[in-house]
Amino acid sequence: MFSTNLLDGTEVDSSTLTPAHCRALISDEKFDVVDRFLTEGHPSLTSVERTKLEVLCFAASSRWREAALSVESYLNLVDLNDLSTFDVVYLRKIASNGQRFDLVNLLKDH
Amino acid sequence: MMSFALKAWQSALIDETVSLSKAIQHLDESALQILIVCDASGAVKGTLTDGDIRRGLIQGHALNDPITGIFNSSPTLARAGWSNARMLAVMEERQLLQLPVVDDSNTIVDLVTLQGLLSRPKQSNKVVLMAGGLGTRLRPLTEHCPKPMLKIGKEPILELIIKSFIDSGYDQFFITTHYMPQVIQDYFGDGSDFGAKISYVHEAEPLGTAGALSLLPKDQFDEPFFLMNGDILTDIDPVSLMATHERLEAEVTVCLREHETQIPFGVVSVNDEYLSSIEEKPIHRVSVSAGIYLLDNALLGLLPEGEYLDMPDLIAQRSTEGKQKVGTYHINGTWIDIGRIDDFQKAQALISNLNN
Repeated sequence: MFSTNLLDGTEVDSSTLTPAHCRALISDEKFDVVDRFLTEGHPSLTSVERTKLEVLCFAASSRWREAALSVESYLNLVDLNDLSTFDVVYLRKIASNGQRFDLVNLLKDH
Repeated sequence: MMSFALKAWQSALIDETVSLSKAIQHLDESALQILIVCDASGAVKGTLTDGDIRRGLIQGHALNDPITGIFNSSPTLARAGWSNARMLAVMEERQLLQLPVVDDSNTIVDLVTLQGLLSRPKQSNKVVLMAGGLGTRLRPLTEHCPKPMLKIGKEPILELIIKSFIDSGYDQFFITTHYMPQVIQDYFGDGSDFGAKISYVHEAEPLGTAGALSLLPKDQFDEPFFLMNGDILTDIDPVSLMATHERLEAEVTVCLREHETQIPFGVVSVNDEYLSSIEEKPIHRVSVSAGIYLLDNALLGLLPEGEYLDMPDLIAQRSTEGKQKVGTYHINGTWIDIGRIDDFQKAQALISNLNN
């Protein structure tokens, strides 16, 4: 079991991990810790939550190629028609930074 | 922290006493899709977006009503000093396209946008694009148009290359020309229409892919630089290539592409006049130079001026020097060398598929 502490002292492990915990770790730029949580174990996260956090973690650490791959995975998990304006702008920009113009075009009309 | 120019976010400031109609006009003019409601001291009292205005009108507010009671008086704010990662996490969680940044006294100091936050930082390394070739194998297409200016979809190949580098933060280009240079210069000019700075180096006589480098202004090259043929369609990530070049501490990094060749016969191995194996139509995979390089700027000082030299010769020369390192970088995504008509058609099909 992998665990870590947030800045406020809260102990987080794979079984109690929430999206809010991951966002707090990303805010603190603990990208490697989030990476490890998301790759090693995440029973408390759904696939959609996990993939969305992957996108955020990679984008926040400027790993654009990996971020764009996670965008692709995310788009395979959700209905494009359910994406918000924010989602479209956000995911399209990341796909563009990752040079995935097929995904940019996929998102263009949404 | 990524910031808008001062005047950009200042144009989004508004007083809470203004009317709804004035606010709509202001919102339309600022083009930031958000207004920041401040008091006389600059302290943030709230934000106003199209959504707030829509809700205000639905609630029965008139266009000449003040925006008090319509704007969002408890917006999400970032504190000065927050990291980009923290702001991105907040914007992603709360689905915010803009995020006002305030100091300890709640005074507005910046307005961060999602687009700005996700923009790649500007890179100072220069990009040299070789566009002087005659394009003989693409005739008659190249009889009145230099090969790099042939259109793939709606844009010339060279424009696709330039835009791809710009997207990655590289916006300083040198284009080497020889065949029909005016067509290229008339199209790109000084690059300002593309958000870039473009200079030209003209080869009166072809000097080869490396020889043309001797014409570059050496004093303007104080960092490693990209060198790329102007007839390649690729989705290579220049930032990743630069990182590899730095990690390898290479003098030259050569981009490679896997190339397959199928031998259309049964290939046999013979041992002492006896056949030991036979393989029908085997496929041979080799790595080929992709026409994209990263070079240390110090190399420019080593090139003989005005002498013909091709990149493979320069690479062979440098790789045999004991202390010098020639690195490699494999391209796994799209790569098409548009040298022949069928390559040109393949590139057209690829761009057409992307656009449909």
